[in-house]
Amino acid sequence: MLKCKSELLLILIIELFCMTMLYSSLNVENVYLEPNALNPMTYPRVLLAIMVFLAPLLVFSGKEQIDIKSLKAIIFNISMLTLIMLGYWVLLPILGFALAAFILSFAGLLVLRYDGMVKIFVFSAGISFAFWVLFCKIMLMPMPSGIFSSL
Amino acid sequence: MTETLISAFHIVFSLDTFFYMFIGALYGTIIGALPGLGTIVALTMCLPFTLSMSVGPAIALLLSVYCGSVYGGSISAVLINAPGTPQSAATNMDGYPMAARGEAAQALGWVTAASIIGGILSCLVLIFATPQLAALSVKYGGPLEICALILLGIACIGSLSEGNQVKGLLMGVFGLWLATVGTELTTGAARFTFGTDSLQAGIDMLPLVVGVFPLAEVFYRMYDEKCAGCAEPFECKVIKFPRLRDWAGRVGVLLRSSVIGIIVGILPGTGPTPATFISYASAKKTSKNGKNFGKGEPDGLIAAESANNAVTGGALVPLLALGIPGDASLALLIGTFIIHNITPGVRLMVDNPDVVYSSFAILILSNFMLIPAAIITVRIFNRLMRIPQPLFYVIIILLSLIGALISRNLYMDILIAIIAGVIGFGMRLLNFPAAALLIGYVLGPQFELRLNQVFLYKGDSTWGEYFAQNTVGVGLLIITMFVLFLPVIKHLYRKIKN
Repeated sequence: MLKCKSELLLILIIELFCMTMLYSSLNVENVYLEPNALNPMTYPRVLLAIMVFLAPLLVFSGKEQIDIKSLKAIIFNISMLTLIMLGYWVLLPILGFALAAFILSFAGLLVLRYDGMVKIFVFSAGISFAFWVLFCKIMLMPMPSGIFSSL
Repeated sequence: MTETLISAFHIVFSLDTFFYMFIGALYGTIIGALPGLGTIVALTMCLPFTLSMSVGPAIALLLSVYCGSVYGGSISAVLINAPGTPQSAATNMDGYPMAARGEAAQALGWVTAASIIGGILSCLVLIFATPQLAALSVKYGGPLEICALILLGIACIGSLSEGNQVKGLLMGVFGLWLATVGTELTTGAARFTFGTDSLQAGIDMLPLVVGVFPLAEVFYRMYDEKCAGCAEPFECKVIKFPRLRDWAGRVGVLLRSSVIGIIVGILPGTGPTPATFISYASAKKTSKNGKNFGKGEPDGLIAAESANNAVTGGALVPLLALGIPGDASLALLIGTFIIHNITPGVRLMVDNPDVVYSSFAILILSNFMLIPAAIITVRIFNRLMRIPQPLFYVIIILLSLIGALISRNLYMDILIAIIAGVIGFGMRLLNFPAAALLIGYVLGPQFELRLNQVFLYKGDSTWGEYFAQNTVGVGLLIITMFVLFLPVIKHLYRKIKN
């Protein structure tokens, strides 16, 4: 186990995020409905200011032990799964739910090294069909049909 | 009153509601029994299904999943020496030794009976306490009081995040801020939308929740292989419930532990895990079989399990009476109320009494549904444990992404869920409590609305005059400050003592 001292980086990220949001909030026009009412940007600005104040206090919080070895070993799988999910997001309106779900399951199982291509194919087809029936046919939810919309 | 009860009766005693209660209890028990998943993942995964339901079946499904998942962790604690949920860790101490000496069926019987009795006792307290607390909150529930209560809830969750108070508070405030993204309702001002149309309506709860909980959980389970790998389960296909005479000398432990569970459940930010350990430690001291604790003593199982499930009813008291969720699971329940156009808060009991009364009945019935759910889960448990992890992961990912899309039918929500998943994984790694984020997010809109009301009601009077008129709110604010500074006070006290 390696000790990961990432507090300073984390504080920097949080501070940068809050500062950016605070800066972007300055571009919003001031609107007043009632003389005593709060400006719509005042409340979020106060919250951001509290976060700016709280973030440096993270140095006093307990240090987390991250198993860098385990993290390095799975970072590729996590990145690939994230990419596959992004692919699903892009393909969903084009291919429709059933096909996009099949591709997601198939690629996901490949990345996760589930045994045997036939098994992967059968499981992916089964799960995407089952979800399609459940959500589109039984629960009648408006899932995207993509290229199958004309059918 | 009669009309309310008839309306609640119609909600509860319908075929739909009973069907979803059974399905929810079974599904919750199964997910709870699988090590590492837990209550929040179980609830999040079934949220999409509630969108197409009416309010009765939706509440039935979620409450029974809640009860089932809290109970389910004890099955794996007994059979494979790996608690399915953190709150089942105390059950593990006596359940597994019993299973090891060939008494797995008896251990499961004690666990199930204690869970159900603890759950039902807490429901009775819920039924009596909620209307009283709701009446009080309507009487004193001005904007300042509600603001103070919400702040108190967030402060409790932050302060009780063991060793991570700053992280808890930071997450709570971040949740409050996330709720401000989108168009502000009274003025129409676009906040933090960066010109994108998709963000005009704000960040929806479902994409945020499915990202921060189930998707992050999949990533975390891949990282922490200890969660995924489990021992071979003991062969046990039946549950042997204790007979009436077996309870002789154990009723005291049952009642004491249930009371502990209920009290701890009512306190925001605590949840079932501390309740279980407090109750186990107390039973070890007070039970005449205390010396056998940890060696397979039924009193230990009764203490852990009755407290564990008694939390479910206790935790619903502040939720139904004040609209303040004590933990992330209950924040999800509030989210479901909002999806079904029911505004949680101090007026819930006045505006939707049928929903509140039907929730009471559903919770009691859900506890009874645990019996068939437990019997079925124990029968299939060995087979469940043999399902390869990748299949679970893919199903969780797919269900999460479906859930993110179907609440508003915006493709942007899938992207938000994926980003939230990656950030949620980072949060898990660095021990940032996601529960505080969710509670802040769910309570954010109400907090902002009430804060605006505070400024409007104050009018031209001074703050001193306004506070003098709202002493209950001021009292709650003082308690909030005390809770916020409690870690600092504790630290200083220890230093002085040393």
